[in-house]
Amino acid sequence: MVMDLREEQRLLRGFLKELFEMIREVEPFTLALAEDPERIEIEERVVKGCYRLFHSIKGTGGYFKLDQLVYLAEAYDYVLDMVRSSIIPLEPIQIKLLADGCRFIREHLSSIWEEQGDAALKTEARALSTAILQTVSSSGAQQAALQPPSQTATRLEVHCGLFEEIGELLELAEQEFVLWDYIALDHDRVTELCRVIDRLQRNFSLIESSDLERLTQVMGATLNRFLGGAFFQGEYPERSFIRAIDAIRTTMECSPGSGLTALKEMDSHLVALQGLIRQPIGEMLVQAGLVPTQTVEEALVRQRDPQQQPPRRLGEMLVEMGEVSKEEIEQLLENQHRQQLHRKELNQELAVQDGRPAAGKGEPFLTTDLRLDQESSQRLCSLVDQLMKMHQDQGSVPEPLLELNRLCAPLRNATMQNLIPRLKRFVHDRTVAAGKKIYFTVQGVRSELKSELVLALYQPLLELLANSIEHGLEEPEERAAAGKNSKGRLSLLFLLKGEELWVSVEDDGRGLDLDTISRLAGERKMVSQQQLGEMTSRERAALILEDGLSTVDDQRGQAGRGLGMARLAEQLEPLAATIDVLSRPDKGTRVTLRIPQAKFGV
Amino acid sequence: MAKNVLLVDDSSTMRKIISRSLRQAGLEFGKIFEAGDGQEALAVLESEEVDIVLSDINMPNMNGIEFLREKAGRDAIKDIPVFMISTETGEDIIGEAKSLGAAGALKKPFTPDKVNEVLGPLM
Repeated sequence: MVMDLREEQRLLRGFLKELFEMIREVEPFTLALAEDPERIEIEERVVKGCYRLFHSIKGTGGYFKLDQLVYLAEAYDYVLDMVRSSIIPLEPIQIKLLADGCRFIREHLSSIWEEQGDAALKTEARALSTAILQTVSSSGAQQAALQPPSQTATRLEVHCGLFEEIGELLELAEQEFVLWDYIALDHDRVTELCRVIDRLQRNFSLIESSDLERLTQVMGATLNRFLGGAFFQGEYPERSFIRAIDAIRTTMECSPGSGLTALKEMDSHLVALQGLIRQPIGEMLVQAGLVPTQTVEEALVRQRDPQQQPPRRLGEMLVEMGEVSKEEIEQLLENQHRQQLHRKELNQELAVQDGRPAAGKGEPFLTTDLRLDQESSQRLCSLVDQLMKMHQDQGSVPEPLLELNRLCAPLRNATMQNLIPRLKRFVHDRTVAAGKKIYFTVQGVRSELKSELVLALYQPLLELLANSIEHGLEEPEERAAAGKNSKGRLSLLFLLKGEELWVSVEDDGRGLDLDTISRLAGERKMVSQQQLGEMTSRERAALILEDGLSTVDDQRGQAGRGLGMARLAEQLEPLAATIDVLSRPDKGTRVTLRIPQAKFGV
Repeated sequence: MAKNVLLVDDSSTMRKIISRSLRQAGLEFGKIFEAGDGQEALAVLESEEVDIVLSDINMPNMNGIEFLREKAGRDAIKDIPVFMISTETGEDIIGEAKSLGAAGALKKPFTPDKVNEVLGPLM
């Protein structure tokens, strides 16, 4: 920025003075905390004060070309931001480094003024940056000593970038596995998924996390064998992958900034993944050192020979060729069988540890809690807001409340984009539970929707999706018999329509039973016979939104349609949404929520 | 008519730097008001004629996000456009600011050209 010299000097002076003031405010507390890290009552003050100091340097230092201070501040800001976001606790070593950082800056303020720059501080600033980064990075102190300071900035940038990318890749992979039934048929998409897993592996290698690297390597190898034509053993192979992804996330959450924490149940995950595809006998023989690769290939050629009558198995062929004994083959197969059993047991154990029923048809299997109770979370946020306001009015906010307020941030920040994966998992889960086959799509997501709206929509959307899965869409056999594709279609669509946001859930199932709905509504005196006679099918369909009309007699499912729909109308009241129900027999049902602009605020 | 601008930042140096870069960007504006945090900013908005607000995010007392939230609830001032000027680059925080009505964002440190590009159309 071009400034005239005197003005620039005046500004720099002002800036250095501000820094001095900030340090004077926070340094005594930092020193006190460094001396006695148990004094948690002043921790918040230290973190806040130091964050403000380093954040200001990071933001404003650049205008004065204080590159060394900015470099230092970026490292401190990075670590403090993680502490502030409760990703990591504040460690005594970090408190000491905060005190060192404050002292370092305070002691050099006058030299910066005299020199009109901070080039002389390079060595010390870099050493402090490295030290604070070491407290969260995966490399040990030894490596720090070996590392040239100039690499630290790249390291910080690379690390931040890598973690961001890992998060994105994990989400991408998870979504593909959730939709595994559909993507498994698509060679290109599985190939793309392999690439995603590959990139994850490479990133884990870069952050020096050997466990995560190994796990992703096995995930990739298993997928590659599937691509090569091998079949998965047993049902729902995707569960093992999704569990591995969950485990990776948990590991990363336990050790932010590094991947060094050992992955819990690593062996179980490896066995689960490796066991997904039965190893071909030829490969096992080669691995066991019983026959050379060349011999297996020779046997394979002979096996494919059309003259060969009757067709033989590879093992039989090799026995016949005198390469191995029958006993050796039996021994190998026996081992493999035992491993399969072991895998099953491990899966069961893992499932029990995750606090859910063991894998099996129709059981929910995802470890992440899918239900986000919209009412409670909103209520929680609003109570915290009220408390904050009360205390702010009185002039001071107690520490526990501040922490509570911070913890509420994710609830306030909910966006459609991060709820979509949850919805997909919910649909997948419910579909498996209902023994149905469904192709689920989401279109037109608006990421800029108000978080309140997203939270308010979440529960109603779950209800609508559950209704479609459990009641709207038929069993595969029933669909086939009706001449429909055995996979039902379910879609969630967001559409900006003039002044309204339209959110539709549509299925191509059996449609609402309008006759029964009309009959029940008549019997229960909700409408008169004359009114019924004058109603259009759309109006009759809308009767399911009325209280007390349930067309599901046996109430076997979790979604009783009548009940769910009445509750839906109630849940949508705060959004001032109109609900439009369109249903055609055997063609499907579409429920559209129309929300006025004032409520969704794009 | 020249627009009145309110600069919200806890650092007075930063406020001076911003007002300087507004001038260097060649933008015409009327009065420049200053506030040290969200609370002060609300008070200025209630008492002065302000056309555009440029606000930091990380500030003591009331930060930029809380300021946006509070402002959105006050009818008289809720339509005044706010641009976030911040070191924060996280999509999350900028996204949150936008979802609360922020009209745009400028990342520190910025150049007069960037100021012109973002604010020019409004001036």
